[in-house]
Amino acid sequence: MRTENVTEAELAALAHAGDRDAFGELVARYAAQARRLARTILQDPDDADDAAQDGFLSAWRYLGRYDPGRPFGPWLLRIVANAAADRRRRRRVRQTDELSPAAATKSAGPETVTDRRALKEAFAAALQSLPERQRVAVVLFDVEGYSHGEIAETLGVPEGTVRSDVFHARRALREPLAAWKGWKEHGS
Amino acid sequence: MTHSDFDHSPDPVLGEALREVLTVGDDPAFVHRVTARLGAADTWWQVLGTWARPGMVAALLLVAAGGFLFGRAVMPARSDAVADATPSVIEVSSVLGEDRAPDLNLVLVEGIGR
Repeated sequence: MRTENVTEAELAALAHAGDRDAFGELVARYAAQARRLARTILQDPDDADDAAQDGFLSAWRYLGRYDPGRPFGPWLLRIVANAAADRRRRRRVRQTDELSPAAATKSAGPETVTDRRALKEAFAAALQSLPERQRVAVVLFDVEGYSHGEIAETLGVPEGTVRSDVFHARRALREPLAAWKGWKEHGS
Repeated sequence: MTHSDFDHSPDPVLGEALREVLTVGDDPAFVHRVTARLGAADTWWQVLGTWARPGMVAALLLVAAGGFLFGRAVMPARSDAVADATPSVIEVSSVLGEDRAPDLNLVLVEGIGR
């Protein structure tokens, strides 16, 4: 069966009936988003992929709870976010993975960093220094293009909280982004 | 940065930077890895569910067969009981079928005798 033009609600219904190809199509459509979201919560890429996989397998088990009248993405990403948070709680992320904003700024300042890789790492460190909810909100909004309402549904928080989180995350990332972007524009 | 932090539309520059930092690539391998594990993710009730229909049919056939055999075993005894009761019914009918009123003693004897 060709599944490229089938809607997500239809794919979910087929998958719920046991059609693994239909679920495979849903996995293919959301793999990149789910992996990025998991990596936003868990810094380690392998951990993130394991969490994303856990999320997809949970979604497969609980497809009966999906409301086809609502978009599939926020429903799935909420499960992935929960799976990532569960994994982080279980594994107790090492202290060294979490950088304080001061440490991130110190190691990432444009005056001490000159190469592209270091600027990219500084930007990544600045992202990781943000509170988890701000990280997720800004990634879902600016990378994945979800609306504030959809992100609120994914995170289980009010829409106003999402707006605030996106604003604060953008403000915190502005400087390291400008340093990286400036280098890319002038140095590449 | 021309995009304001207050903007209610996605910031393409920030979005591109975040995407570059967070994307690990090789999605097809990941998709394959997930779909390969779907069988292992089946819960016991999903496995049970696949057996539900044939199980129901088998149970219905068993009940039907059991009912048939039980019926065959019980039917002769029941026939005998009906046969034993039939003469009494005929006797009562004959009493009720008389032109004149039945003898009260006969009716009482018939009733008490049952």
